[in-house]
Amino acid sequence: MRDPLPYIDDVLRILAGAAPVRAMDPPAIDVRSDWRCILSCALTYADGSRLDVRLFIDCSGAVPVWLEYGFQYRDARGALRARWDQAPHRAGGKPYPHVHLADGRVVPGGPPRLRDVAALIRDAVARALAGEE
Amino acid sequence: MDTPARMSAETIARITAEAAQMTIAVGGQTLRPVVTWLDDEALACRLATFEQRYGMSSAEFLRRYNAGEYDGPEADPDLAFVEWAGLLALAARAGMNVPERA
Repeated sequence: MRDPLPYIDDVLRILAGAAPVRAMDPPAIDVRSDWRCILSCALTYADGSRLDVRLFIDCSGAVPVWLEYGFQYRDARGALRARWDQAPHRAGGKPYPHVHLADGRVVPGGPPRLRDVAALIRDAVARALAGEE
Repeated sequence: MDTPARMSAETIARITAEAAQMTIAVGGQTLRPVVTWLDDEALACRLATFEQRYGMSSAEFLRRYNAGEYDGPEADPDLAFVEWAGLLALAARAGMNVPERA
């Protein structure tokens, strides 16, 4: 069993360290039990892009598990850059991890590694600040 | 069933102390997390708030969610439905009388 708050601290530091942060509301942590928490947070990066996060975290085992998750990353105009979630698709069928891409495609993938989310944000913010978008 | 209906005073004291130590520095600000205790009563309240906000029962929401009506950034722009589905899953795991997702 792992203490969930230090794990949440790690999550926040990775996401806040992805790129310069312009603004962030205080993160909300709903504590369900000794080992189970929900993290809700939103970060606005230097290029005006925004990441919204919902993480249902279970730290009862040796490795933290995400029971449910949603990461949504939009550019400064609100256009989607990427979204990871596990909601069932319109076509029906069982839910499975997937990614909504900026071009509208939905592909299997995930749950994402936090460092991959951070890398995508870092690259996207750098491109936007360099005027490449 | 996997969670106690209410948290012990010891758990609350420990997590409160940990949260007080937790700070994150971003954009020239130092932020502290806002911690809420989500026992069964609070969880039921949270579900009722979703039902009221969206004008449908959790059962109706879950039927639509499982049919794929709430997937993606257009249908769920602020991740509210991800959160609602997750809360329902937590409630179901705790043996509360809620519909279960597919």
